[in-house]
Amino acid sequence: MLDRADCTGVTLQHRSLHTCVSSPYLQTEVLQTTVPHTSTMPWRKVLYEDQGCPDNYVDSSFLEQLQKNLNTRSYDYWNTVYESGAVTDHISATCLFVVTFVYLEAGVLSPKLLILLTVASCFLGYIAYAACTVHLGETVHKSHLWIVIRSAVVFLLFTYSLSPILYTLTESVSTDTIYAMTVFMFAGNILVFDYGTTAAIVSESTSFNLAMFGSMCLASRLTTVLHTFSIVSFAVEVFALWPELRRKVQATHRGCKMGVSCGSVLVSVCAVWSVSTVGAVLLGLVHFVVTFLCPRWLIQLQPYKNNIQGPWDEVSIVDKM
Amino acid sequence: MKVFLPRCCLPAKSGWLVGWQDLDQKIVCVFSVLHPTQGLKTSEVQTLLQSKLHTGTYKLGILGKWVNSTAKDSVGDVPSNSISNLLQDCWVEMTKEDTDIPHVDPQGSWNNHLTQSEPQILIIYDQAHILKSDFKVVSNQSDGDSVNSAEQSDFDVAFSALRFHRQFFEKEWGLRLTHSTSISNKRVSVTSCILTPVWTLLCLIQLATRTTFRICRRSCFSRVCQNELMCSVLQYPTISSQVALRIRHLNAVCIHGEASEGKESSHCNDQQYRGRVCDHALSLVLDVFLGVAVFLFLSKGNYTKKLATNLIPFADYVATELQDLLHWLMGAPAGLKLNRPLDEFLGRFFLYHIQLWIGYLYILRPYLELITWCIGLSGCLGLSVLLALASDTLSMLTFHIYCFYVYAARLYRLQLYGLGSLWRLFRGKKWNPLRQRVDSCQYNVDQLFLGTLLFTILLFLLPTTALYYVVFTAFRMAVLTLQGALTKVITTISSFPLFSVLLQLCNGESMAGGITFQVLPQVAGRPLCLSVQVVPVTIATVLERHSLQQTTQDELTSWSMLGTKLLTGDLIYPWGGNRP
Repeated sequence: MLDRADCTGVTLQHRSLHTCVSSPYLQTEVLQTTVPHTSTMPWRKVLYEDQGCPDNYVDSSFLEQLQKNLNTRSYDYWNTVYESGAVTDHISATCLFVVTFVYLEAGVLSPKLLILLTVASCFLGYIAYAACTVHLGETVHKSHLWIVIRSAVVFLLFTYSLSPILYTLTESVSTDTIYAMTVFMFAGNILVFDYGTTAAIVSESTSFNLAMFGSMCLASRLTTVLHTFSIVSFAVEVFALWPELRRKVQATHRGCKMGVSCGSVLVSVCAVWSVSTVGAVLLGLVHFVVTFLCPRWLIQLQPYKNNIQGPWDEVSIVDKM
Repeated sequence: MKVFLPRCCLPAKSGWLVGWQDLDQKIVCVFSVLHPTQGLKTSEVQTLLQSKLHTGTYKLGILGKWVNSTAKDSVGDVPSNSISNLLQDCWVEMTKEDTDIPHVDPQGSWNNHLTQSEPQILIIYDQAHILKSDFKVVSNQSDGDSVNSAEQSDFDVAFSALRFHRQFFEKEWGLRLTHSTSISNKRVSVTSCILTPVWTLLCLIQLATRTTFRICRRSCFSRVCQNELMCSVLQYPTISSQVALRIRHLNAVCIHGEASEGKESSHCNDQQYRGRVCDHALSLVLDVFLGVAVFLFLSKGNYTKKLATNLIPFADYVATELQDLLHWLMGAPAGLKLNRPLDEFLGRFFLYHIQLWIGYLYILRPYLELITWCIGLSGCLGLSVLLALASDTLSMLTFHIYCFYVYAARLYRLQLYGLGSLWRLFRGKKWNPLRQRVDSCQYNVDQLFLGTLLFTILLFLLPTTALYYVVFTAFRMAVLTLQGALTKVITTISSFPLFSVLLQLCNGESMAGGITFQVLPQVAGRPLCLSVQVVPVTIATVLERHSLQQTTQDELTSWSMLGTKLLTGDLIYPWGGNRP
């Protein structure tokens, strides 16, 4: 089977089996070793030949192919701390958005000012984005600007035209329900956000949609059309544009990444401080745990890793092409 | 090998077996025992066997010899040479000794056809019962005893052979024969006392309708029927489909009249067909009779006028109630979390429709009395036509409810479908129509943003739309239930097999409901012996089997389909198909 697979340009790898205790193969081995394999030929793991033993016979040579912890990576503590910046960045951005909403609802921040800030930061952000692109040595297409403008027009047009519906949408629903929904949505957003890993749970579109749904729930609690419009535009900036820009900026230099992460942590903690002290302390704790304790924990857990690989695994197909 | 022996032949004296046999199907069907007397003439036997009545598929002949050793008389080994040309080349000797079960001994060519291990089955039947059962014996009720389904066809063959030679039993032959003779008289008398008035009635109907039919068929009627568009339009009002059904029934009666003038069809089919035609005719007559009675009742008590005068206030009352309901819905009914702007918009929209509806009723008011009188008059065409017209009038009067239902259902369905596809977008998936499955898909940010925006809006507006949908669907279902009940009555009237039911009540034996077998106690060295009994048919079976409309609709699937349609907001009857 392996030979045939190689001919077609495909290699087969045995995927690791994480649960060794519940493996049915090992149990059969225990049961069946009492029946000896009498033939002079070495036992082969095939069923199509009569080898003079029952079908469920497992030879003692079976476990010789067992391999442990094949794909283990060793982690460097400070490197892990450095990479965890992506998570703190995103948490900070979400907190900043929530604080903005609190200000808007309290009437401290006027929606016009927020719109102005959003537009200004958009321009600045685009210039920074272009600069980073040039710095990274990537070519900037002229059509890219048009795509950006078109997207911006779509955002603004639809947000503005649907805001009148949005701001009365959840009028009859209780505020607590909406806040609970928003909390779940943002938590889901933080959970499935694309931090640069390739896990099954990561889904860029779902995370963005969850964030937008949560922010629209919040927006529907506001009182005027302009409030709704401003908070939705701000949500688009925070959840769609800022991660793009952040990735671009952080790719330019190692120091930049550190700076952006520290800056956003500081800004978010300060912003939350202005709303609630307990919240700020909690946020600081969360940042601390995510940045320093979680990497330590990850590294401490490494010795417990016990993956076994062997011929009993399902084959996984790796395409060479 | 199966031997069918009449019960009355068991105690008979020795003689020759007369009947019919089939070598391929290995059936020997004994009709009678012919006792050779001193003065037996060959010609008489010849007339018996080669009578014109008995030529055809089932050829009569002398099958073999019957020896009754208890009666202490004998019969010649071989019948006289003079009638040997009547003998069939296969020969069965049946010897009855001490027990009831005779010994069966096939001889001659039978030995070539039978293998050694072939089981012999002796079937004892009641000639009178089998002959009386006019209609086809459907042997699906073999009680307990083991009879293969493959063998049932053999019974059908044998019994239809028996019935084919009915005249053999009804005629006096001047020979000493042992078979049941007392069949014919009773059958003729009872059946004819029902049949005669029915046939007279039938002739009258035929006379009356045939002339009108010929005119109609030549002119517009056939063209209307052939036009597909007309057909599809006409099938929606109950009245037109009902009238069309009745015309089809009438047509069937007339066609039978024309056919019976021409060639004679085969006996068995003819019997069934005649019963069917009588069913049609009598159900028409019953229908018209009931209809006229209802019309007379209505016109005598001046009920049509009362109905018309009471209908308008009732409709007004319904309209005000609906308006109140809409005002209630526009508030916060039962503390539901509705979207106020949409709620008010929908409420005003439906209120405007009720205004339109009231105007429509005012236009209708002067004609209402005429309409109710016309409905009463249509009773002369039959009660079913009257009810169909009433059902149509009901759907016309509740047209606003239908409209409300359609609007609400369309809105609800649109929203559901939108939510379905936007939910896939929400998860970063999309429906792939080529592979009929959900694929993951990379969307642009603006697509995602728009999708989520619409998703949020649709999700929070859904309760409002669903509320209106539920309320108006409930109204629609109430109307449909009423109409369904009317339709049920119409169907019952127009498919009621009056003739068959009467026949069952007066002469139940003539309609066989099935046959049962009883295994007689087995004696060593003798063939397996079965006793056949005809089960008289029950009223329920008659109603089911002779119903003029075959309804093969699966109740369960139609109910589950209705539920699914209601949930997804698809339109139910009439555009959806089934009526609840």
